[in-house]
Amino acid sequence: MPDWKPEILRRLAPLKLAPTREAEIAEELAQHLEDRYQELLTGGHNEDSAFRTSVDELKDEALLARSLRRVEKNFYREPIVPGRGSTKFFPGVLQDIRFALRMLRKSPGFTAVAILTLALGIGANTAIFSMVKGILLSALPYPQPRQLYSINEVIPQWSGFAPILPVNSGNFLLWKSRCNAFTEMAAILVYPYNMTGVGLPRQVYVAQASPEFFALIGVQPRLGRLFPPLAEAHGQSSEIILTERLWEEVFHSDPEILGKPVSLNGSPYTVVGVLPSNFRFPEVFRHAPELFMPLELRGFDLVPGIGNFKYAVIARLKPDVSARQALAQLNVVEAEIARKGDRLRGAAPGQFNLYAKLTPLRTMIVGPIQSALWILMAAAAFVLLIICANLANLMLARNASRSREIAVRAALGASPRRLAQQFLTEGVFLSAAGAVLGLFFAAFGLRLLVPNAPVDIPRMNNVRIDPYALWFTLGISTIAALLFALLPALRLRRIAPVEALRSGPAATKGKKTERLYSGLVVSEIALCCVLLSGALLLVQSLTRVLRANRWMEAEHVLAINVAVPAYQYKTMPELYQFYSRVSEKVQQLPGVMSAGWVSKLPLLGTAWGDDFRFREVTPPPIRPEGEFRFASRGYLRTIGIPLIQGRWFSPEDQGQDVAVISESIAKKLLQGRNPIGLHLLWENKASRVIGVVRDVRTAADGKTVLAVYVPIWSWNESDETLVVRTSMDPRAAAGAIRSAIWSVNSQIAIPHEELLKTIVQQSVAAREYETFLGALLAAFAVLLAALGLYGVISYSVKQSTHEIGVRIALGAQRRDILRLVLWHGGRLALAGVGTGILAASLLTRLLSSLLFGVSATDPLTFASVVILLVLVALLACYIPARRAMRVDPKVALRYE
Amino acid sequence: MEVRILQTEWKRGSAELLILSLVEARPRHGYEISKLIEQRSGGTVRFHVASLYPMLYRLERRGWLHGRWVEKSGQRRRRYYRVTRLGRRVLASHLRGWREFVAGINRITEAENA
Repeated sequence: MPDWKPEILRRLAPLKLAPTREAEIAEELAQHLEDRYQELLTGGHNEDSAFRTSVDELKDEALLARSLRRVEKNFYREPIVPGRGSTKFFPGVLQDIRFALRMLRKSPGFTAVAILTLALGIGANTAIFSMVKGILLSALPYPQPRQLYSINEVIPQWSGFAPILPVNSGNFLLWKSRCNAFTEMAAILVYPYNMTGVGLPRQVYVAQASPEFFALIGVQPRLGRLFPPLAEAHGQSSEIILTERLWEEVFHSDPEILGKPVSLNGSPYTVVGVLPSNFRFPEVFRHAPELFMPLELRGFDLVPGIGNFKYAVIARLKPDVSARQALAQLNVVEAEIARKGDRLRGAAPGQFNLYAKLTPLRTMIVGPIQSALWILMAAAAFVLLIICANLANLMLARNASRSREIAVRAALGASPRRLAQQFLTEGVFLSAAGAVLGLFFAAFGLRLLVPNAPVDIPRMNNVRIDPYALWFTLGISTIAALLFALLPALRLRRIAPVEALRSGPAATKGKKTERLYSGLVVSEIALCCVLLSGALLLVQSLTRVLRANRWMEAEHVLAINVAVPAYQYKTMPELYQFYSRVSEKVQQLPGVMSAGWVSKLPLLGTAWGDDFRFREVTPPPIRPEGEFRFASRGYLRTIGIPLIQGRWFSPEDQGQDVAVISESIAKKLLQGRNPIGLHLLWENKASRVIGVVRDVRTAADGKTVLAVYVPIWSWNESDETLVVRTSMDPRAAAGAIRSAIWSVNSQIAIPHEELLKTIVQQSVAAREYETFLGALLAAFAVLLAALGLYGVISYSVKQSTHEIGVRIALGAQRRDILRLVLWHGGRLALAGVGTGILAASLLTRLLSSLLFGVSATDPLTFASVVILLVLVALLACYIPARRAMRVDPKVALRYE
Repeated sequence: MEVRILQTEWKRGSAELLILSLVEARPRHGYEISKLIEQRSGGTVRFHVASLYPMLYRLERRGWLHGRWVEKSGQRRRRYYRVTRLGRRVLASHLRGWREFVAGINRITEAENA
């Protein structure tokens, strides 16, 4: 039978077709010629003439090529043989994906571990990114939110105890009239009021706000109208606007609410409007207000000066004015106020400097959580890096065991680039699968994290997986794929096919490869070390915070905030009588051990501040500001603050000016003098110091304050908290306590009681939450690093089976082998820990704003990290080491 | 000589029609198609390998034909072509045009020769 193909191929040659296409055409045409030939033979031709007639079908040399040229050009797609070079990109990719899937299916263990760890890493990153995005990055829900600023005041001389101050209302009025950099400026004060006349008396948080407030944040009423634009100084209004929540809860969404009267602290007010449900009050106060009334300033509040800092101010910058220009305008006014001084409040002209501070409203709201979130984000990124290093190692090891396959393909003409593309595809596929699963993890994680977030974390309701989060996931999974697949892919350039084919799997294991593995593991351990140090520092801070507040974790103490209607108790004795009668009644209740009053509980922010000095002691150049707390006789015993020296208020002190100071006042300001009997000068009073008590804090992790306790009878304070210690579950007594208060005055609104324990818990909740997330990431990192070390050591043991066999055959003891392997792993661990501790000592400084009672380079913490990681590393090496000990030299040597 | 030129032109114009109509009923391979054309035309129309296959490939490109390798036991594999749905529509419209054309020619030539 004649061979037709050379004839055909010669004619096809000028077309330069893709080889497979050329072969296909040749086959079809040859088949045709063969059919023709056979027919001619059957028809009686001899072989020679049959051959010539058949070949004649191809006509002259050039015709076939000419007529095929137009048809074949730019059309045919080359199918690809694994690993072989191709001129086309996309078909190669599809083919690579098919191939990658096949390879991954072949090693389900590797694939599962890779996808799962990637999914956890990507999921953690996506979840935390969603928090960063929702809380820190996304715009506030107001029109042109970038123009919104919060204004505060700063007195450098006071920076020690109050770095940033709220605003004096007189200063605010001056800014409003003098500075044209702002379109609107509003002052706000939130305060609890008693609302009566609708069901039981209820405590509501009322915002007194400048009428411009609503225009400033761009809100329209759902019902009725807003406040008329009357200046704060001239207002004389009794109008209120309800939030939708209060309207629903108290007024059952009454559509006829407008014009109805509401009694607040005994005065009549009229509802003129209801805010829409999408209204969000800027989260700058601890309590979101439930209703609004116009801010009215009178008398004292109209005078600019240095003191009486209590208002929050929000302002909208004009579009064409920069924050710097606006600040300059404000500071011109501030400088003038400082120059004049404040005679009313005892500040001599020029004694204090006064500056304004302009903060973007968003920063103001998210400020406290900002650094914690970014640090968590960085920690999550570290975890992903560790995962990538791990996977890079796994892929390297796998490639080494696939070296024969790779060598065969390289020998068949696959270019290193083509091979690298294929391994990258495997990487991309793994990371895509990880990303999809990771998104599920993130969504699931957020469903757990968001509802359980502490209330102090602002804007949590804004956290969700949105398109930005999807883009983020896509981005990090691509980067991850590049990180863990590129290195092994680049390594392929070094493969020498002949070597690999000759000597089997071990051929690719050289010094360089070994160094690469080791380098990856070392960096993994180093990253893990940084994470673990950070997490341990956070955990230590948390335990120290808890320890610092342990005395408050008393069971059976509850607190009820009572805002006494000041209009009913106009004189100090009347007020004092009210407090005494309530505490007497409460103390008689069954199960109540003691009861007392205080104007500010610890951990709930700053109390009323005022400067003071001692008559007998030369005051420091800058007068310290004390925090004044007005307390009753029963307070100390009830809350359990330890008494250090002297005594607490007793009945014989009644009517006298006495005071109890906190430990830090005695330590810092008295130059070693005995505080008892000294006279504390404040507000034209000279109070005799009778005792010293343990320090309290404004927040669980806040600084200790210079607290001055003054008996309740010597000050006119209408916002007090009743503290009750019981012998049983205090919530059971709450009802009786309520009735006791109402039996004295039925007009008083009593909000929900709070347990002292809950106050402590809430005060540390945000820190606990952040610490928990950080510790979770660190634990994950340790696990991953251990896995990585285990992988490398066990791979290395497997690769050195022969060597170990020889050693044992030559008389090495099992113990020697164990030491050999452990030392190999230990060396890597030590290198990693060394680098890691060095990096940690630099990086943990970024944590310092979150630390409490522990330094960012705490040697004890670092030492425990070293010990922990070395132990984990030895454990990770121990399993492969035992395997090495059990190597049977006969088997090992035969194996090669 | 004129007759040959006319034949070549006819072949080109009608080749697609011929091939489509031949594979309409059932799939056929290239050699079978060329044989059938030769037989049915009584030897007057013949396609050589060098012209038949480029045409088949072109029709395949256009989506009128679909070629597939078929292996039958005891034989080497062959490429069978079948008409696609699109090819069927093209064939129907070609046939209509062709019949109209032939009818027109006939009317003219009959009138002249009558």
